[in-house]
Amino acid sequence: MKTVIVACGSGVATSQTVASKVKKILNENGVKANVEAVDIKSLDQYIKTSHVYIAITKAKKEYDIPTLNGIAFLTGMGMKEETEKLISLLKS
Amino acid sequence: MKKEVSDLVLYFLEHHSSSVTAVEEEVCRNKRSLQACIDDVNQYLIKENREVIRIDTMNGNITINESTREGLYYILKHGKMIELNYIAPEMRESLLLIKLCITDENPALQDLADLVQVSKNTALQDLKRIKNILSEKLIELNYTRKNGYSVSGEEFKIRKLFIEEIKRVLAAQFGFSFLWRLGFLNKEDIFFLRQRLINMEKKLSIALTDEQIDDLPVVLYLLIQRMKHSNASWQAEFDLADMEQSNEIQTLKRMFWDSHLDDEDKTYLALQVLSSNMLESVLAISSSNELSMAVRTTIDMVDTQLATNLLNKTELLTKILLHLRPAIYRIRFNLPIQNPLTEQFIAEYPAMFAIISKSVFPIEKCIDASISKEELVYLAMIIQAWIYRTEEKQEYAFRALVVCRNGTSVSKLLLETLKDMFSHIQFMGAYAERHFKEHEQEVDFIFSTVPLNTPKKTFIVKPFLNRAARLEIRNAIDKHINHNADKKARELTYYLKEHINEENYQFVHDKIVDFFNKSPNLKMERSTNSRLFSFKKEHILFLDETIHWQDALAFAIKPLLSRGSITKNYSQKLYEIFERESDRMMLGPHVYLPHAQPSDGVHKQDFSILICRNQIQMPDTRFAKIIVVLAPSDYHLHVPTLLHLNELFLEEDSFNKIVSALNTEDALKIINKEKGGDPHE
Repeated sequence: MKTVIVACGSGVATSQTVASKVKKILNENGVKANVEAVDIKSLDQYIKTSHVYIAITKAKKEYDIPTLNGIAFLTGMGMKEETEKLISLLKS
Repeated sequence: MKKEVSDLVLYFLEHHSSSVTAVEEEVCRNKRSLQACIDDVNQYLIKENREVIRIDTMNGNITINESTREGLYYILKHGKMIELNYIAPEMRESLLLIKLCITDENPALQDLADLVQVSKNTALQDLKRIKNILSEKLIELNYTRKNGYSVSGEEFKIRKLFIEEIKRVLAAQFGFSFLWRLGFLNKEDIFFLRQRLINMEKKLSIALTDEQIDDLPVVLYLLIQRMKHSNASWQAEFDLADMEQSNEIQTLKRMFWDSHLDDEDKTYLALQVLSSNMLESVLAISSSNELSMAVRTTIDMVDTQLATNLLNKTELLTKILLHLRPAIYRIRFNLPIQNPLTEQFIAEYPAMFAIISKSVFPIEKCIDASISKEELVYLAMIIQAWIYRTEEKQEYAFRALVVCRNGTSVSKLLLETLKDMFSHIQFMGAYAERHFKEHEQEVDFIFSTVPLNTPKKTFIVKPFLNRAARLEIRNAIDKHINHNADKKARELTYYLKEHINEENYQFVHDKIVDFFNKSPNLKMERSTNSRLFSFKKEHILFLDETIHWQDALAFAIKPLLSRGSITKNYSQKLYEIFERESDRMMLGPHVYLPHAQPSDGVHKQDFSILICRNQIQMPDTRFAKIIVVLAPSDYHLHVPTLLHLNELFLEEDSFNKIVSALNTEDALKIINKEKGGDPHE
């Protein structure tokens, strides 16, 4: 099963909420994946074992795995595009 | 070994891990004696340099690890802890008889009494009973003061009785240990005989049952002793000419090349092997020969008398021929056979037994011998098992295999009975104890007639399952599945499979496992968790002015401070973070979510929803219509509420209603409205 990680820089609420929301969206679309909200401090470590990174913090550096915009899932702006990208990444 | 101890060891082998309470319920009611039993077993395990059975004093959990389990297995298998001080009368009779057959010393009464550790008087009583048994079989028990005891009679009859007694002893608990401790056996010779038998299996492409591979070396060894110690020679009651040519017999005779026996005795030994029950054999069975025709006639006759039709008769024919091959040796040469299930089977399936009895005459005619009751029951068992066979289904919730020490007919019947009982278990087949390891990894359960050394969940069953036993095993499985979240989930998914989209199988299964795995407490907590924050008047604020974002935040934070939900430090942190990252702290279009961490100073979860009637510019230069200030008490509690709010904000209708709400009541109506379905995931 593929792993999606969600991380935000400062608060606690956003990444948790986005992770839950993404899980729900994936369920509704019948896509199986392991979605986790992780601490930004240990992000580098998680990146290695994950397939998609949903960023909420401003990207400080480039990662090897596809990165999506997490805020889109909350504001609805660009959410459709990000959802489609996510699903195609997980199904590939 | 005390029964208590052996019961306990068996229980641990079956369960792998357990708790003191469970053991007390199922095996041993008394805590002190349980401890004593475990101490006994542990003492043995320590001697064997194995890890001991550990009991967690905190929660009473009992852990059995790999090395311990192996030790327990050997305790049962070899009767390591057995007390031999007392030998039961029937066992004494058998042992005395065996002794008399393998000695040429004509022992005196005292010798025999010492051997089985009883008084001379008791031994005399035993011998009287033996004399009666022997006279029924036309064998004499002789005694002279000078020469002691000896048996005499036709060698063929003596050997038959001799083998029966050996098999009886071996079938009893710790029988092998008795033979060994009384000095009847030479372990090295037995080991070599066993190795040679295994080689023979390869050479002749046969597979003997576990029971045979364990028992035959002992029988053969003791037979060799008999042959060496008695001068009597064996006269076959039948013509050996046609058999002698058989390649199998010649091959098997070479097994005994170093035994210094004459050719006839070697033939006798070879016949013992050939007449043993086998699990499989690729010995050529021509389908056109006389025997095969006879069997087909019998099958057809049985078929017409049965209420159901026999499926796949050709396969059944092969099965019966496979069984008949050794059986014919037994029947024609009148070799001893024990079918421990004879009476039980006849009692349970009288009609089947009657039908078979009436229908075997073509076979009897073909082999020119009458078939004994025991052999009839074997045949009836094969056919009964065949009737149990139902059309194979495609999907199963579990996989299992059966381990049986007995031959094809017994294991087949057991296998088919189990298949019939558990339609959701796919049975891989019946295997010998020596061979099941090859398939061990593929299954969820193992049904076995003997204790096994395996990490898989094992159910010990009787080879013959009557009504009561069937009920018992069904309960045991239900109980096991109920205690195992993964298996329970699989059973449930299987049950619901028609209603679940196939690609969701795994997902649904994982979800159910998740659900079962939560302890009752956690489930409670979770359901509390999933309750949304209930917003009240004091949580909703309106702002009509266009002010600086810091002032707006201060306005929203004030109630949190005054309610004592957060500290000054938390609000300070919140400003700092929000100034830096406001563009990331969103909860909807034009909805901002200023917050910091619980550790920054949150006393209890709280919210402030500030509805800005005039847009307020945020640090990221965009405008806010709603500001939700969050005081999270931990890392998860707020998530359902935020998801709920997010949903409201993303829906144009509800968003507009909130933004344009005239008063707190209007806003609360929308905000506290439970959406259909569970907003929490």
